[in-house]
Amino acid sequence: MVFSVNTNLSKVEMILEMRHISKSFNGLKVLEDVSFSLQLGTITSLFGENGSGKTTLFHIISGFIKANSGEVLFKGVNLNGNSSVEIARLGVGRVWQTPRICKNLSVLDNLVLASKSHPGESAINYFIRPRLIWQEEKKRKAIAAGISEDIGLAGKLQKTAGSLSFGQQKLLSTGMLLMNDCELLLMDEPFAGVNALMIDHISEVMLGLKKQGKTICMIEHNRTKAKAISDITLTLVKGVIEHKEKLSA
Amino acid sequence: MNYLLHIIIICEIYLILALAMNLLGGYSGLLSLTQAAFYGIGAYITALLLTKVGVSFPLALSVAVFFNLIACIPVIWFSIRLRDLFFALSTLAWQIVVFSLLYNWISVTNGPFGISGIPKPEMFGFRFGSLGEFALLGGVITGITLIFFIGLHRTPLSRLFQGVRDDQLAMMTFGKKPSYYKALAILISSGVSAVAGALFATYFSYIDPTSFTLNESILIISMVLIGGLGSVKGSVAGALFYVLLPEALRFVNIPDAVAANLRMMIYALILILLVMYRPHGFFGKYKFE
Repeated sequence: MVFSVNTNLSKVEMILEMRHISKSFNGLKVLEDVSFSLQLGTITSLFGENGSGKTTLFHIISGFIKANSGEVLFKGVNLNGNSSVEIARLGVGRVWQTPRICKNLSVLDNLVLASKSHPGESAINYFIRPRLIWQEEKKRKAIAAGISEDIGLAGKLQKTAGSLSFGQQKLLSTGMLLMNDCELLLMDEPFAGVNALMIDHISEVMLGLKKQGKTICMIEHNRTKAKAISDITLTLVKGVIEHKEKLSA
Repeated sequence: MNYLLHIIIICEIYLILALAMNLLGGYSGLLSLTQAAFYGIGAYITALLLTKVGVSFPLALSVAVFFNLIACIPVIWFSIRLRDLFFALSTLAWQIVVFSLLYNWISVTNGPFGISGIPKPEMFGFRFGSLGEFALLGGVITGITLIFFIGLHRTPLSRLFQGVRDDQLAMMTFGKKPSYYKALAILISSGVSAVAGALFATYFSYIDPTSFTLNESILIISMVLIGGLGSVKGSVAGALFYVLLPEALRFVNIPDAVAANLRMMIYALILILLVMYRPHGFFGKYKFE
């Protein structure tokens, strides 16, 4: 089943296009001919029962598993055949249901670690341009401090990431994607396991990101809260997109 | 005085090994059982170059480090994709391979008979022949190693090594390749272990494969665990603890017939208590799990 969200938009404005994606595990069909596209700077919610294939879809977009057939186009570039690391470098970020952060590092170190193409990541740069490493380190720490304000963790930069609450860890992993300069954020149940206040805070952060031109696609079971900030909702039923709804967020 | 100098030299050698192991096991969370193999290769290459080729000590040391960087490629190749226990098992395999080579490649290593007559180091026309002179050389090399690791752990690279330890999936999510940082940690660690091997070979003037067994690898890991994972200070404390404690127990008035066994029992008991009540080791950043 094919859904092109906002069909009146040109292809250039579509940051992600999924074309006829199918995936099965040991003969069990998880996704069947799924097609949809995401418009730049929008929030899309993906609904569906457990086992309907939502997370598998995210795994395929972010390159952790390969589809049996179909194409994933990110800004017109076919992602098929790219590794998860390469896809992340292209600008597709992922916030996992359980936050994936470095729990023994400080919040600041987590944010700087996630930053894109830091010269200090390559051992050779310590021999050929050591000064650049420290200049960049300083710059990125300043950017990280700015992002920590955006996500509401400004006062916790020196705290160990593992000491943050579950909701704060989710915010931190979102902040890490921003440091990584991700254009598309795939968020797996951002409201799960956090209190109502934190849900509101996460919603505000997501709306702020949308304003900055980021595209968000989230899997969420809390439909009311998700719909409140979404432009589009898609519902997956047994691996097939059964329903789409355009909202006026 | 000679006894004290001997202890200082042994401390220096183990300190270098503990620092190298701490990068792997402590910062990067890679439990390597092959550290003694790297140490042994460094010692053998130095010994062979000094006794058979007659090169200078600095050149032998440099070649030993370089050779170790190449020798660790098989470890990188077969262990880099593995995690946790599987990584440890793959390094165990390499430890066994290297030990078997040292033991059985008699034409090169002289097998179980080892290599004797290894000359004392000579640099810039000065021979570090006496215990005091050797301790000084060892001190300088250990100091340089210490400064290298303190510096390394202040770089952004160290953060990435710790990222490998904490969450490899997170690293991939942010476009970092955990395998690159694992390979780098193994390379640095093996190169530094070769330095300890070179010191060991020239200090004792004799080496044989029994100095580079799995037990030695476990001893080095224990130093890092007891001192504390992910801490340079911890590695120093762990190395000193392991070298000095058995020596200190020599001065406890124990009957000769049971001295050795009782000493080992006291030693083991202290270790068990430490693991039970100080899971972070003396100064560790991470808990022993």
